Amino acid sequence: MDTLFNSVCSSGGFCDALGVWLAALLTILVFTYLIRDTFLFRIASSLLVGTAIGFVSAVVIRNVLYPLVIALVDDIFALPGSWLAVVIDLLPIVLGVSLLMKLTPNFRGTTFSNIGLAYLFGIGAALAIGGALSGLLVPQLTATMISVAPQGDSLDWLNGLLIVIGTLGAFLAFRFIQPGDRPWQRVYDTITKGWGTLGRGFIMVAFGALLASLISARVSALVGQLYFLLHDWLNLI
Amino acid sequence: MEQPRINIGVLLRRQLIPVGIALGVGLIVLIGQFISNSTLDSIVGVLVSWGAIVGAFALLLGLANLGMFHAGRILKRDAQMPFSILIVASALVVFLLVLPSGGAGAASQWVMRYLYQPLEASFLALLVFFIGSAVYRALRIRTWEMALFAISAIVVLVGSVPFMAVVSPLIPAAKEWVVNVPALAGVRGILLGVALGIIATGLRLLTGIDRPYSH
Repeated sequence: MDTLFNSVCSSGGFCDALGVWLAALLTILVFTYLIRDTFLFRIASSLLVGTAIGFVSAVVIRNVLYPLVIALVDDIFALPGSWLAVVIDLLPIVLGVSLLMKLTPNFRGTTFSNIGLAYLFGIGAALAIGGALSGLLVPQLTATMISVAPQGDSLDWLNGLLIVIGTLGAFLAFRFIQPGDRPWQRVYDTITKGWGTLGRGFIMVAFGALLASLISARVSALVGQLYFLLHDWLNLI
Repeated sequence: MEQPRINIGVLLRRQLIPVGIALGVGLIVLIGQFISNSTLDSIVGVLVSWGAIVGAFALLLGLANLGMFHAGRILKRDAQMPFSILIVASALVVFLLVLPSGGAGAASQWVMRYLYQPLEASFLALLVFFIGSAVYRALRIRTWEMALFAISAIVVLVGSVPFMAVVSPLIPAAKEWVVNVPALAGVRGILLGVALGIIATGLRLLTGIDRPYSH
């Protein structure tokens, strides 16, 4: 397919010109939504879905499943010396096929059809726990503790203290516990509730900053698309 | 009232085998992330690569499901039939163009550059208008939280404009302070909660308390 594509597009100009016109048309189709939800906008959204599905599935099949099948065939031809490699190649295929059994009504609820899913959940949960511990929890806690360490600038300690108060407050903002009856429990509840309310303020500041970054990114995308239409397509600027 | 009969053998087989697989594989991979040992590392490497392969099969399952859904729509001559035909046809064309090279060939690059990228960028650009209307509606709620939200958004937005440094150096400095102190604290608190939530959910899955794979 690539050879065919290269032979058609070898002259360079035609495919690029066709691409620019296609991209411009698709951009305009998407922007028709500003008028209202039109048939043209739905064509663009269907094309986005179809393109994404086709691209991802082709890449996954070409880069993950195809090499596996090639390796399996090679290992089968090298038997009996390569029995371990054959088993290592076959086991994930068995797990994958068990997953595909979910498509058949007769096998949907069987133990075999659950094995692949259980494997995915097991691996996913373990990687998620490891990632959350080493990628989120420990670095964030470490950074929060380091922020209160004495630093050069005289006002930096105040910022560090604010970060600690805000971090704990934002964390306590999601505390939903019924207070106990004892006096110390009520005092503890009042303190944590107050701190949590303060933390909600920090969360809102964070959301505001995130929204501003989001707006900046989206405006950049809009400017990029308008520039593409006016420069690459219409050659006006 | 007659109690339903429970077949212990079937129950054990249905629950025990999937839970055993999830628990066994999960614990090996989890331990492998914190203990450095060459044998364990190679076992974890094989298990994780199998996970990628099973994930690819999961994608095939999703594709088959999607195909059946759209085929059903087309066969029923649903009102959405033209869009289903478009989705299936564009997916097939792109699939055939990309498959031979796997994303690195000239055809794949053409699809990415002139089909996917403009569509994605246009959809992202379209969000500017919806964010604008959402912000307007949010600002109509007059609470102290929304006031903080609006002030923070305005300070960061105005401070991000390069020209503002010429007007006053305090504006970019204020933006830097908001991003690096209160906003950082808020995000950090949320991230700590997210991390604890992930760990709790993962442990519930690994210990078999939650068994979404054996329902």
